[in-house]
Amino acid sequence: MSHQGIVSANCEMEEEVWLEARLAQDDVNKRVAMINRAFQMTRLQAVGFPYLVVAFCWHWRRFGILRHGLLHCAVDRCQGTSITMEQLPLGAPIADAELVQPRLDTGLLHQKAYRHVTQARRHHLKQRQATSLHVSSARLIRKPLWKVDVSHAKYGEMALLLDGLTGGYYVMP
Amino acid sequence: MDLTVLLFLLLYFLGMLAVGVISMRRGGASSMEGYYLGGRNVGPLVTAMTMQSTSMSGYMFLGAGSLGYTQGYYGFWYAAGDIGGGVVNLSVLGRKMRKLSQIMGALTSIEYLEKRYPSKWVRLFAAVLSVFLLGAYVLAQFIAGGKGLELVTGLPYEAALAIAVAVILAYTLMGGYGAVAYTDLLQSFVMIIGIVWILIATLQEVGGFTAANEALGSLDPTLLSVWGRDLAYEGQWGIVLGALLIFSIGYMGWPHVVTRHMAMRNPFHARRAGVYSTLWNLIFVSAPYILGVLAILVLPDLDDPEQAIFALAQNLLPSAVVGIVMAAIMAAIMSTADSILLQTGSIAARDLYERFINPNMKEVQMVRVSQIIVLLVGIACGLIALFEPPAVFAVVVFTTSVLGSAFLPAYVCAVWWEKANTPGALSSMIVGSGVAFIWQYFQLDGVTEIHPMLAGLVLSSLTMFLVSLLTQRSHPVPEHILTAIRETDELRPLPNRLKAQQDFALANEAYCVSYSSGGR
Repeated sequence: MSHQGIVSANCEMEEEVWLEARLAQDDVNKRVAMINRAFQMTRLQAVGFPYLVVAFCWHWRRFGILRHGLLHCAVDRCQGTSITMEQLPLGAPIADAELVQPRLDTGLLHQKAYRHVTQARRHHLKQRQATSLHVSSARLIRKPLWKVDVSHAKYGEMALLLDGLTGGYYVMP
Repeated sequence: MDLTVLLFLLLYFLGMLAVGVISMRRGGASSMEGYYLGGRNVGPLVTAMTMQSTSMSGYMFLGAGSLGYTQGYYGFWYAAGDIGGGVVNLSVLGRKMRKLSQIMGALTSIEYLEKRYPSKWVRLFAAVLSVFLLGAYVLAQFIAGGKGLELVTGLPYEAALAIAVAVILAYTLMGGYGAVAYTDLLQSFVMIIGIVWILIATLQEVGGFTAANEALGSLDPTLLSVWGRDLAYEGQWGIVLGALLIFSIGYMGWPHVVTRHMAMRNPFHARRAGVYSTLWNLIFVSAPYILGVLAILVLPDLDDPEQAIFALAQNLLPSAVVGIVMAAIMAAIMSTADSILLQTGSIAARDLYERFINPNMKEVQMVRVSQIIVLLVGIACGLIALFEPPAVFAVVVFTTSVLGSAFLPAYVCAVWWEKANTPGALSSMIVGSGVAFIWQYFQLDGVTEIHPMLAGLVLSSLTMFLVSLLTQRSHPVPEHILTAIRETDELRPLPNRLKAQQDFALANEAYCVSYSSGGR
């Protein structure tokens, strides 16, 4: 990827968009009960976590047919942790969500996304299938999370962070 | 040259290759975490087994046997430390390092050090030292591979070494990281079956433990002592303590071993992995030392003590079984060499070349640099092993002492001591590696009766504490790192199921949300 690619991708960046919250606000209570039946939800706060999603595409020829590859790489704008995503399901913004402020520069995030995708494709390169990567789009997105305060008769008060996409949870310290 | 042995050896290598290719394709490298850390999705059994088989292999079959053969039951100081090494490593570092590395977004053990102790010098020093010492460790595996093949095939050492190096390099250059953990799991089982098989055959040959000990006692009573042949180490507690520590806590300083903590699916798997590794160690670790001692009775005139276990297998087992056992030994050696070579290549490419020379490195360059480093290290080690091969035991003790002394305080304090700062870590690494190196180079252990590992570790730990405390004002630990360390604390008792079923991929987001909500 050239630096021109990064610059043009930056220019194309739109306003922040939200990923679809598959775990809707109305279902959070049910999900909390599934995690532990003894939990009583006392407070619910939506959180929008900032990511930069860069879509990379590449082409290669196999058996005479031109093929195309596409991979989305999401880079967390606070810590720079990156993950790949096969789909990018967009949804409506969540009202009254707490927006975590991004701390990293987008140029750096582009580099991280590029490195991530090149690493992910590295074993293909060993088979001599490497081709140059192109940035097809770059978007600033917000990933929906639910911060839930719960109380437990035996273990007391605690806070959970729920993934709005997968429903996974993490006990916050 | 025994064709049955060679056939089994060949079949085993092909089987390993197949497992490697299948797991590489199935696991894929769909993410950077997938590439470096198996997607942080490695269960407790695989974590324990890959840690143990990567830590030991070549050394256990050559070095441990040689120590038993030359020093009798003195080797049990090393074995005693080694048996508890896995559980100590997983208990001290496992859960906290797994969490902290994810919160800080670190993928390699060297990158983790730089994120915890923010300074490019930390990364530079740690990476250069790791490349050098891991290269030395590869050298030990090459020598082990050459000696093993020499005995199995009857070829001269030089030719056997050339074949071993060529096969290891080919295997490394075509292999992938994702495959390593799963081939290690399989190999760990084969290794344990192989060693137990030789042990049973040897015990039958010598008439059991009691008869063997009586025979050893009549040969030389000091062989039965834990102070070495002719009581060479009697009362030398500095040496003995170092021997005990080297493999009990030394592993915590190995970059390629601590990476295993970072790859665990769940931080709470550390406890179960500790239990598995102890069970495996109880059976596996003491066997090579015992075999070395028993070989004195079975093969009293061995020219090279490092071949004690190979020779026992060849003399006491039927050809087909020798084939399986030798294949297990060779594959274990190769798997260690393979994973360390890959680690060396990635440290050189990612932590040195990309970080300091070419930050915008392209995919092709990354692979090329990594491959060139692997080749250069391989060729250099091959040449040393050919012209001036040191003893495997000496190389392993040297690398473990220097790596342990250099990195152990930095890794342990990273998660357990909030005041550990960059100057403290850097100076501790410099002092630890320098002292352990000088101690061995000038053979100061003979003069001081203190093991190089003990000297290096004590001085590097002291340096870490003193320098960190003295530089707290000028170099305070950044607030975001303190928050991340506190996040790794287990703050309160929680239901086991609730803890274990957490999605730890959210740890990073939880850290940022709490950091942001706290207004820091």
